[in-house]
Amino acid sequence: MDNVISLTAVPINTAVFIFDIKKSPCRDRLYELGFTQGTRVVPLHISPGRSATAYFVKGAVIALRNSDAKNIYVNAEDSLS
Amino acid sequence: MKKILLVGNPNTGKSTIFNALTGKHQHTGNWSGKTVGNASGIMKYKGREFEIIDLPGIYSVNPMSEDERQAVDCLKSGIANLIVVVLDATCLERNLILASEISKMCTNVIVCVNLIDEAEKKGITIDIDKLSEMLKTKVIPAKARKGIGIDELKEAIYSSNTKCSRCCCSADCIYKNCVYSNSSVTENRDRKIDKILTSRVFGIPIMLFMLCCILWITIWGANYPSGLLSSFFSRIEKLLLYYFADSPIFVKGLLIEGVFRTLSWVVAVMLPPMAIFFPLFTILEDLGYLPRIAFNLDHIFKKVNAHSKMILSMCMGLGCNAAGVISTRIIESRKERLIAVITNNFMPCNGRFSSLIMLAAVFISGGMFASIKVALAVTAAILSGVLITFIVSYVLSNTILKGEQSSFILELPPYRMPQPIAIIRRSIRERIVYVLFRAVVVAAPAGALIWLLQNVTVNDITLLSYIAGFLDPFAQLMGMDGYLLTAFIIGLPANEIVIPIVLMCYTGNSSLIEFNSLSELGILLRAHNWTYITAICAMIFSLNHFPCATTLLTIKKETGSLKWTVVSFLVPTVVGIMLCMLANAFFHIII
Repeated sequence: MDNVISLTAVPINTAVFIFDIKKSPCRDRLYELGFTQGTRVVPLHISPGRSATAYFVKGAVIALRNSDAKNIYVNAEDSLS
Repeated sequence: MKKILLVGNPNTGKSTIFNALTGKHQHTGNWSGKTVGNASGIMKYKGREFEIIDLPGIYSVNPMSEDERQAVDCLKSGIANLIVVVLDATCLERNLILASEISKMCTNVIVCVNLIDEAEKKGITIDIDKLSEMLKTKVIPAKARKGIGIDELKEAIYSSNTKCSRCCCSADCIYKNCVYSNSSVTENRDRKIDKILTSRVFGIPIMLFMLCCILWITIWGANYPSGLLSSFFSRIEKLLLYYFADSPIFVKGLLIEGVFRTLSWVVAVMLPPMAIFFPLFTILEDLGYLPRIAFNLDHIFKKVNAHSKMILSMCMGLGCNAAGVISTRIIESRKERLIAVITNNFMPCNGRFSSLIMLAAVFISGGMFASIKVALAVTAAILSGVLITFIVSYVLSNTILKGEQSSFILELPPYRMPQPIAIIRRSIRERIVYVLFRAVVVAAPAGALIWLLQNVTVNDITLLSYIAGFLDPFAQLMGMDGYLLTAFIIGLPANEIVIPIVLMCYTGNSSLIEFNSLSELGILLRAHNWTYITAICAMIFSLNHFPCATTLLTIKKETGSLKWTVVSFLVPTVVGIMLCMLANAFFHIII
């Protein structure tokens, strides 16, 4: 996997697929919200203060702070399929 | 009686279904975390009764915050005869994770797929039969807001039998087999609205504009009913005094001039703004706007080291601080939750901002744009409350509540059209009942107390004068007078009686003063040596002082600690005294 990047580096409205989530206190919560391996994620909006981003994931829109989202690694294509 | 649990992800309409099943009026709102405690009610169907329990929303059976812990504890306790899993049809891919987790727990389960109409609009088709087959449970599609599917759900609850058949498919597999979606994520209606409401340029200005608008409508709309109620009560008082002219002083004085007059002040001055603000706020809540406020302000919360979900409890605090304190349950970390609890009182509750409106009317005389000017002044007061919240949060998170900042994860729900008529009808009725109830239990005794203080004399000086005189030097330092400070102290049980008590102190034994609009009351206060400095200091102290008794009890209950209750009492009070003294000194030196 050479094209794995952090979710925060993905431009708005670009669909990506989750590759891995680095171990962090909020990892379990992210799993529950549907940020699981292979899931399609689309960044939608950046907050006015640029500190958080809203993502489309599994039918819902979830706002994440960038400091948390940077622990999510993604790649442009679904590695599972 | 059979116990039925309503379980599901946050904001899937569990409370709406609960209300439809039981005929109750549990509060609903379009954001994750609206329901933070269990509610229960009775459903009657075909001569049998069932107890329905509405649980706070959960994402999985591993709880993270206090509200989720309550729900999961109840779910795992095994008290339920049947679990109804409520799913959001527009977001099944994620909702099915919880549904499959629960159906693996081997309990009696029914699945209700709610919001089916919204899913249709979004181009999502769901194969209900296939879903039922794969989950191995009965699946009922519903549009709970329109009451569709409720009868089928009742029938399913009625006829459910305790058989256990575990579902053995993964959520992903179920989703791929049962749901067909052709919706565009990036170009739908919600995204277009979000682009404006959370935009870098317009996001925050729109928020401020909305706040100001709501306040203006409240102030403008309250004038007429206030005047009407005031003249109505004054007529009744005259009649009462006429019929009881020969009765003993205690009936005439204590009951009519004391209790009745205070009650009528509370109802005439405080009720109309409260009854108007509440439904307006509920409309914003139902629309789904509150989580966007948290999103817009995230960077500020990040800087002050507090949790962005705190803005949700702050918004709830605008309605009632006790409710605000309860809603902090959605904050996962205890440290950040305590910050939210301690600072909640800096948001003026309904009762206090009715006071702020009155106080602002002192230095804003009538005229064409009076209500707009008053709205701007109150907006400024609320914003200063927000600013103080940020400063105090920063100080707390760097001193007694030090710790790592936890993550911010919040769902932004789809925008939903509120049902204004239903909201207005319900909240006006609720507000009137609530305010009248508080008026009877709190304002009536306070009215009797004030009358006694005004009429019991020692050495020809009334007790009230003694107390006010004793507090006066200190109050003067804070830019207020002894009566006002006395009113704040007597107003501890409920903030909405502070201004009525002040008015009682000033009007004394004269007859009830009629007024046509809230701004006319300013004239009365000015006649008692109030200047704009008095009004500004009173506004500052109204915004920053001890929480009311109900809120204090709630804080004690929620934190389970006397220490944090005392801190919550002291922090706003000390801040208020300091700010009042500073403001007073500032105005006296500069001007």
